[in-house]
This record gives sequence, structure tokens and C-alpha cells, in this order.
Amino acid sequence: MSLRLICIILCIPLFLSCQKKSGREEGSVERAYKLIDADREEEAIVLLEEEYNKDPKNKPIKVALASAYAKRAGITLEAFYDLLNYKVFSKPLGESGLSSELNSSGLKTNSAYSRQGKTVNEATQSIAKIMGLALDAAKTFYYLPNIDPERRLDLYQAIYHMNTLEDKTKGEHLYLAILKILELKFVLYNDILPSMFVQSNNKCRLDVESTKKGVHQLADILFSIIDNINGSHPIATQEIYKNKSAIKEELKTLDANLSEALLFDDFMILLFKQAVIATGVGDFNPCGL
Amino acid sequence: MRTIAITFFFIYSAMAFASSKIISQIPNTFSQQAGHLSIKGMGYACLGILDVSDGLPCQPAFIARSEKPSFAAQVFVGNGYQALKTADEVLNKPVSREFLRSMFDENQIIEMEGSGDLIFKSKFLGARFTPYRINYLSVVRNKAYPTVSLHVMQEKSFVLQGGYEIYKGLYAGAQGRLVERKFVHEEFTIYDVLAEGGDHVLKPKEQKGLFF
Repeated sequence: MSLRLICIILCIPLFLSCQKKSGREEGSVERAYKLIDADREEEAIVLLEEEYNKDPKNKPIKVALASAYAKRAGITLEAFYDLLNYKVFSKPLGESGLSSELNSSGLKTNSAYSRQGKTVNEATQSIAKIMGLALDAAKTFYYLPNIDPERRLDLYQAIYHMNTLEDKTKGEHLYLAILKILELKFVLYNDILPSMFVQSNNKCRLDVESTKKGVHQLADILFSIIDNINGSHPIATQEIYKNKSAIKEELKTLDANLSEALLFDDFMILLFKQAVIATGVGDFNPCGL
Repeated sequence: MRTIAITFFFIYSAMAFASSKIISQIPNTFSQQAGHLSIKGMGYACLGILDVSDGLPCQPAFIARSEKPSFAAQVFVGNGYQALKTADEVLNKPVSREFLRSMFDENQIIEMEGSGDLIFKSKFLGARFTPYRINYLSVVRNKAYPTVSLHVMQEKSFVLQGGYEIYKGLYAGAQGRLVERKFVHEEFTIYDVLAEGGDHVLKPKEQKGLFF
């Protein structure tokens, strides 16, 4: 009798081990990862969307789904090889030198447009500083790919699924920060820069409303990136938070001072073009010049 | 009934060792206790084999069927032995971030297994000393969210088994296994490595145990 009891007790762990408590998501995630590696991300997305609809809070499924959309947006391991060779993560945002370059360009503008009064100069400097910090963020990840405009929704889907994860790990924060930097590069190049400039009477000017709107949009993305970098690098973020405060101050100055369209002369256009090219977002010609 | 009880115990003790991660599962051969080719070929079916020619019987009761004493030394090295250096680095050296990054450049699946055994068998008593056994499995998946599943284990063990024919055709036996192992059984992404404190993603764990 006692031997039978021992047998039963020994069998219990065997049967328990057969229970697949999290087997469904493990199987789906593993299958989806294999599909992604086989460049069959469409099938991976279909599979993971099905699982996601059954259990929208399942973390491995959400991460896998985000990565499948990221893959469809063109983000692969190859895109990170160069990134791995550069110790970019030890450097806080805003230290690449581009912002100081642009800040000093703001000062140059100061003298170039001194005849137009203090208001214009301060606004120009504010734009230069905010753009400088944003472009720094983009430059820090120079080697990250630009997203094809047709794949924009895939990038947003990836960001959405990572953003809504609960209890993000440091690694997940970093992944989200990188996705948002791709968003920043995309929005900057495709939406903000083209809308900032208007041409009238053969002269290139900054459009006040579009510029304000664009710079605020840029700042919102930057704040969000900074929050995620704080999540991935909690100790090293003191410097980065200084940038956040600096951007907030500059936004106030910009809102108060940018009231008339700024004239961009050849020197400013050239400087602006070089700064944009340096970030790796692409060649940009203000007013098509 | 006794044989059944002992058999269940052996299967359970082996299963307790293996837990799977999201993107990979440990190969079955890793969870087997010995590196003998015949056992690897047969899996747990070896529990029914009366005489294992190149090692101790899987069922200790069957040691009583050994006819003459023997002593053997065995070395087993599976393919992928290039991973030996990597396995040693993971378990015995401080792991640098550069080393971790290099794991993402490797092939998608690397599997390696090796061991050395000294085996003694006699009519009622068998012993096996394994001074060095190593298992290594790394799987890299998902180009868009590079993830590594890593299982490395280095183990020393000593097995002692005794068996006796208590009645004609009815055997009873027992086995004790003393194990000392160092292992890493982790799954991590490239972003975990690049985030702050990423150098500490891999910390080897140590385990000592006596199994009956």
C-alpha cells in the first residue's frame, strides 16, 4: 500500500510537468521569431495578432509583435552592427557637439540679423538650441536606418506595443528609445523640416506657425526618448535631464519671441543643410534651394 | 512495482534539471546523466536494457547482472567543440560587454557537449567519476529584436550504484549521485546588454547536490 502511495507521489510531478501553463505563448513567440528570421514577418504578424487578441496583456507576445512590425519597417540586426561598434550609450544626449555648433550658429545669426532686433535673435537661438538637441539625438544614432515613408504605420505599431508594456525592463526601455529615435528621424525629415520653410519673393523664410508646431512635436518626442533612456540608464541620466529642462526653457522663449517669419540667407541655409546631413536623416534643401 | 517506482524516480530527477526558455529548449541529451553513446542513442529506453556495454546500467538494479569486473575510461566530444572556449569564458571569467555583443554575431544555433568518465563495474557495485562534463547551447533569434538563449553547464559528478538479485529474476538496486555544477541558463536581448548594468546579464550559478 505504502509503495503504491510512493508511486503516486512520484507521478504527481510528472503530470504537473506536462501542464503547459505558458506553453501557448512560448510556442507562438518561438515560431514568430523563426518566421521573422526567415523574412516572413507578414505571417509572424498574423500569428501574433491572433495571440494578442486572445490575451492583450501578454508581454512576450507584445514584444514579439512589436519586433515583427519593426522588422516590416526595415529594422533588423544588420542595422545595429555599426551601432554595436560605437560606444554611443556612454554619451548622454546633447554631447555630440552638434548642439553647440548650432548654438554658436544662433549667435552668428545674432550678429547677422542684429538690425532686425532682439526678438528675432532670441527666437532664432531657441530654434537652434532645440533643433540642435533633437539633431544630436538623431546624430547619436546616425547608423540607424531611415524608415521608408510607406512603412510609417509599422513603426508606430511597434512603438505602440512597446509603449503599452507593463513593468518594462531596462532593455525594453532602450529598445523603445531606439524606436522613438527612428520616429524622430522620420518625423523630422518627412514632416517637420519640409513644413518649416516657405518661399516668397525668391526668399526663404521660416513659417512661424509650422515651425512652432514642428518644434513642439520634436520636443515631445525628445521628452519621451529621454524618459525611456532614463529607464534604460537610470544612473547616467542626470545630464540628459538637464537637456530636458533646457528644452522646456527654450520652448517658452520660442513661444514668446517667434512672432514673425525669419529670413534664411544663403549662409543659414548652408549651415542648416550641413547640420541635417550630419544627422544621417538625408539631404535636405530648405525651400528647395 | 519496485522497478516501476525506481524508474519514475530516475525520469523525474532528470526532468527536474531541464526547464525551457521562450526561444529554445534544452536538447534531450543534455538532461541525460551520462555521456555514453549507447545511452545517448537510446534515451530513457536504456532503463530497460540489462547490460550497457560502455557504461553503468541506467537501472542500478541491473548492476547485479554484471559478470566480471571492468574498468574503463571514456572521452566524449560532440561537434561544435569550438564553443569550448566560449563556454569556459562564460563560466570562469568576468564577462565583458564586448564578449556579450560578440554572441549576437555568431551563428544562429551552436550546440556542444563533452565529457570525460572513469567507470568501474563489478558484480554488485558500479561507480562512475566524471571530473569534467560540459554542455553549451546558444540560440540567436529574431533579427529585429536580437535575443540569445544561452545554456552553459560545467559539472563534476560521482555516481555509485549497487544492485542485488533478491529473488530469481527479481533485482533491487540503488544509486547515489553527487554533483557539483556551475551553470548559466539565461535568455537576454541585445538591449539588455546595452542598457546600464548590461555587463552583469550573465552570472554563473553554482549548485551542489546529492541525488538518490
